[in-house]
Amino acid sequence: MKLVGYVKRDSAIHRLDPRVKIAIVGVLSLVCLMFTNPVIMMALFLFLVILSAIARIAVVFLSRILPMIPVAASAFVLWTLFFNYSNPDSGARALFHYAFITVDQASVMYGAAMSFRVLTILGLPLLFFATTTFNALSLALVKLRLNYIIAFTVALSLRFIDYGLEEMSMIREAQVSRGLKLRTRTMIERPQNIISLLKPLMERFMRFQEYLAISMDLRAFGAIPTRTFYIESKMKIWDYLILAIMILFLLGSILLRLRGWGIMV
Amino acid sequence: MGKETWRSRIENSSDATLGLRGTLLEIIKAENLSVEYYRSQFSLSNVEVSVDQGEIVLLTGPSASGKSTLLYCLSGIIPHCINVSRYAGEVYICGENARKTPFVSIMKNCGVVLQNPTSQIFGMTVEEDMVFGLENLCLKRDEIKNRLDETLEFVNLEKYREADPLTLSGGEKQRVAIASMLVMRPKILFLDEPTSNLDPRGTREILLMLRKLREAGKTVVLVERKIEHILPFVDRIIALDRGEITLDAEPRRFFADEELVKRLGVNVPQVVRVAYGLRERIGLAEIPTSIDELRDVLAKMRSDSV
Amino acid sequence: MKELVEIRDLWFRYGKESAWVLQGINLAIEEGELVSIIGQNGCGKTTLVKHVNGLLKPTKGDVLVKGFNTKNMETHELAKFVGHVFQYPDSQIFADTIFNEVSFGPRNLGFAPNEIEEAVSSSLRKVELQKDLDVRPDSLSIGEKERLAIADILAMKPDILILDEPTTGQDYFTCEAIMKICRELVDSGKTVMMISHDMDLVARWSDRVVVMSDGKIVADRTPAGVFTDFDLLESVEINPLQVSLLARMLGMENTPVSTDAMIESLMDWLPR
Repeated sequence: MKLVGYVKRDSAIHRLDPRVKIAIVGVLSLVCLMFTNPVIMMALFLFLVILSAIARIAVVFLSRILPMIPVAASAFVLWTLFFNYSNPDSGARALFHYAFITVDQASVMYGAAMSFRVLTILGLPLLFFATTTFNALSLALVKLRLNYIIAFTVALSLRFIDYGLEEMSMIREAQVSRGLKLRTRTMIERPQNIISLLKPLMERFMRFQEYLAISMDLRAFGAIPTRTFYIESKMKIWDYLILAIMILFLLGSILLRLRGWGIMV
Repeated sequence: MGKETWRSRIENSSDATLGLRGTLLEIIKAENLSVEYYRSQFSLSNVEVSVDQGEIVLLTGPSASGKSTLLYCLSGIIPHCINVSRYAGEVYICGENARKTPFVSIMKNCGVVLQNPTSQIFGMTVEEDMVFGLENLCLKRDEIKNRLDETLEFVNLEKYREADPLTLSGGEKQRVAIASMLVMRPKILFLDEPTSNLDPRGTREILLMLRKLREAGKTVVLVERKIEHILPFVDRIIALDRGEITLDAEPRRFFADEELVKRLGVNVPQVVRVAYGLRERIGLAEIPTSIDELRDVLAKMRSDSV
Repeated sequence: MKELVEIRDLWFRYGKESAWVLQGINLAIEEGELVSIIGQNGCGKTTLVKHVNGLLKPTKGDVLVKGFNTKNMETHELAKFVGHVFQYPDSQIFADTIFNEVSFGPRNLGFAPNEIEEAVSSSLRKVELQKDLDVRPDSLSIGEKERLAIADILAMKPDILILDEPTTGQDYFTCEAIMKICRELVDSGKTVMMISHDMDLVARWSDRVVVMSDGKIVADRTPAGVFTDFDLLESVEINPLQVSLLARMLGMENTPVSTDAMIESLMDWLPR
């Protein structure tokens, strides 16, 4: 059940320099946060899906986005119910009215925009990590002048999220086999239930971390202030081109935003 | 220290080849070693161990007997990576005092493969994982490439060069972990229960690897509980019980005392159990430890009387 | 003999995209049997036993435990009949006292307080863990922790006990102790299903050995039936037992699978 893992493919996206990919994630996130028009939000998300298709991981990407749908749906519901943007005098049609909750056309649009924003913001890192090995990421971070120890630690931690999920699942199976009911009504039982799942997880995590630290020492990690990078990473023409496009895109978006475009009134 | 000093220090002392068999050079020595963890379940008392270059030594014993602790001490992991509340006595690794020498120097002599391969795999591909240590040591690209190719061939993982190590089978993962250590050209290889999680196929892969290591003259110290398979490749067995060494002998002599061996909770191989039975019934003199040895003894007995 | 576990044409895969992990498994296990399942990793052994206590549900086919179809039951309900001991059982320990740890299972199953007390003390006795009930599990040695975890499963008084690789996480003494307990359980009419790579252990303790390969059962016989069939063993890449190999090498007539049988055979084979 790999949520964050690298998917090896030979695609244009995979071959992009990780720094450019970081730039893409950054720019698209910013643009996403700048606007509130649902059509723009949807377009951004679709763009992401298109990128995943170019990266030949469309199916994997969508299957990883799937668990995020409930989150997006909650966002939709929340914003739709509680967002009351429209001017009472504007004559906008009220669709639903209950106590302080007013749902009108504007709220629905806003709700839709928010839910796509959620999907895009969550989807960007997913796409990134599916197309970038952690070593390549560390290389990029180092070239961006980040201390390589920090860079590695960050990248490693992400990788082991999947491992953590596996361990969690194994512990759950063991405890459920001892009769643990995961959905229980009695308040007294519930803390015990959680402890029976969390404590073993913590212990395994501690032990794993210990081993990990020892392993890193055994491979001389951090022993020398600098290191060789076997995998070369140089920016090619394509990388510069895409980077330029991204910057222009960002500038353009900022301009449009300042002109008041793309947001709801 | 400047980068150049580090580099030359490491470059000048690493082996060019994998070692020669037959030189009786004491490569590890533990003198009167007593160690206590903070949790004080795991400890060692007055342990004396000597390992010669090219030997393959097996550490065995029941749970919490101290075998892993001893492995950690002999490889320098204790005291450098794991804190202990008490460390008395001395350990010498390749002539250097384990406690007083910086871990970087010790580590270049010792390759350690821990129990869970997942906690030692840092690369997204086998290649990436294997070069991790070499990159950290600031080796030049050409050198890295040479060692990578050589070691991949040795462990027979060439076809998995671009594969994600975590998707490989248990035996293959274990070989990746071993390869990632071997590529650093350590003089001594330490393996903590290399076959414990493996199925018969995986176990066989590791045994083949052990044979290759033995032929290459590498010094290996390993901890194992299932010793039946490992026995043919082992020069010496050290049994621990509650932190003390109770028996330290080559396989033949090791199994001589049936009572002791059973008391130590050693997993006695079928061949040895048969030999014990024969000793009781017909007074068999020596205890063979492998199928071939027992077969030879029995065949001789039968042909002698004919 | 009553059938405790009945597996009928079981097919299983994790999703429509995945390959079939189990392909048409048919297996019936009766009371009083100690069944071992052997095979390479990935052949489906663990997947199969996970169906017995409902951790996995069949994609096709049925799994019946004591007559109940697992499709209609949750794992915690099946825990009334099925105890599952995982690898490294000490890693599931979480309670603050031995009593709370060992009584976790019985409490979940709704035992009455006096039943819980009896269950806890009798299972601790069986695993030979002589400690006060209010001792912290953290302070136990690894071997003792292993026994503690098993004690909890035993305290649930299962009719069927599943052991997943008992030799991997345990030391020799604990393992022998567990196997003796299994033998007692089986002699009293219960059932044990064991997965193991330790062929010596399997040959010594099992009544029946099921050999799996690629999601199918390729053999279901007595230990002797399996371990004397060298062709079968080769087809699943399992080495023969040392005594069997030795017997073949010596050109003996029969092929023993236990050391006692071997010694007896040798007594006949060797000249006086």
